Amino acid sequence: MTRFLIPVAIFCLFLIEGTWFEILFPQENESGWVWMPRFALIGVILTSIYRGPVAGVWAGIFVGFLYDFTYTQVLGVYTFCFGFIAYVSSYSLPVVRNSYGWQWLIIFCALFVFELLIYFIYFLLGIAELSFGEFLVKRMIASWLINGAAALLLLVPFRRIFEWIEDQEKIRQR
Amino acid sequence: MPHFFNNKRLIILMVSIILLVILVGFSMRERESVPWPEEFVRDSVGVFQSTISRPAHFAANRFEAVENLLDTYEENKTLKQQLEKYAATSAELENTRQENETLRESADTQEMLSDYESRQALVVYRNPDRWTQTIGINQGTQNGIEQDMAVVTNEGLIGRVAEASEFSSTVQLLSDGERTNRISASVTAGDETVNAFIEGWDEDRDGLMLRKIRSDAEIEEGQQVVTSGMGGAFPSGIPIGEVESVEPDEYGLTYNALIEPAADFSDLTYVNVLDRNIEDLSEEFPSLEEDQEQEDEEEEAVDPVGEEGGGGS
Repeated sequence: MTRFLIPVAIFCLFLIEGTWFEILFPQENESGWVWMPRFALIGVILTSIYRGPVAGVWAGIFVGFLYDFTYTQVLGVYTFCFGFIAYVSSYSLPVVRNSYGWQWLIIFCALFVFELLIYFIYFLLGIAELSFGEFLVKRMIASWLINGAAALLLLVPFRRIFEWIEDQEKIRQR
Repeated sequence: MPHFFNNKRLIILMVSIILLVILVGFSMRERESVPWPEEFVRDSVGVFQSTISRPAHFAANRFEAVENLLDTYEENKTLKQQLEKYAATSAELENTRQENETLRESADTQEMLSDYESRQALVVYRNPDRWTQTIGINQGTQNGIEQDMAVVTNEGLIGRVAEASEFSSTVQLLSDGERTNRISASVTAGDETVNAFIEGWDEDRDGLMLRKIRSDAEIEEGQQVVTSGMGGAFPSGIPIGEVESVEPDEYGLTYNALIEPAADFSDLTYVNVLDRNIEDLSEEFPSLEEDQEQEDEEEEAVDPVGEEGGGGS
């Protein structure tokens, strides 16, 4: 039960990202701002903070795989980026685990690296045609705003889940 | 980060980058069919998406209902004005329909370029990253949906089926902007029909590009653009949009027009997938798809009325 809790939570975030968010907040193209929800990424980063790099990378590969297969026609890009981000954001120090501020900062930086990676790969493949400046304004800032806000909402429930899982593990070890 | 990039991890990173390149290379080429693992994952995720999308659509419709209520008064006014025109138009339509029927009988044709069957589908997701403009629908090959079919809303054409798996399929929207996403379209300018191609999406001006319009055609603002039904799997007569501006292309030989799409791509709930009834059109008109470059010279030969008669017999 405890083993499947994190994948299920991340899977739910993945579904919310593509279905609920897009249906409830349809985006107009005119303004040029693109609000990209990265809720599953937040879940993956928190997993690798609380559960270590190995669990984090597996969670990342799992979501990236789903992402590649359902949303994009180019395989491998999201699997690689999710895995990579999960690995570089695995600061599992007690200081980080006990402070929401540090976690939020890590998510904030990871979002930057993640969007940049996706942009560069897609730019090389010819899928993205935005110039770098436009990318920074229209996508990066929008992504920071929306995902930063989402991270604030997700930090507390995720910490509860991880604490609960750790308690369960201690009980089992006795 | 106590454990950053020592030798073993560096090797893993290298291997995964190589894997990435291989996978990208594998999937970037034009794929005829979707490999089964991809289809399997897509279908199983599609089941969840389909279930959770219903309450979301329901809630979204509530919001819209409230918004609609607020501008009912204005709408009512304009609708009343249009209603007067409606009676005249519907009488004319009925007339034309009968005439069409008689003419078709006399020409002894059963199939038309505009014949299609329509299947309704629910939009279950949209690609959240927006680098590619795709949506997912809850109908697949089990429901008779195949690759390259036209996808429409009540307002007009929105895209084509990019990949169809068993129980769900991916639709590439017109706003995706891929140049290979070519649709043969026609504009009714005065008495004549002008054929051209919808190719790509103009990011800066938010409109479709209608290219290869022959230079002597009288294209003006406000003219309606519809599918011509002469290339691939799209039936004819589906509204695409309205001409917004016309300009000569980079070589000055043909004209380009900016088209404002008739359908709204941002807010989609139900879409219709059109299955064209005519089978193997490409066998009857093998030259149509290949000779797009010589569009200008051939314009006279590719007369849509002539094609329709030939297509049926």
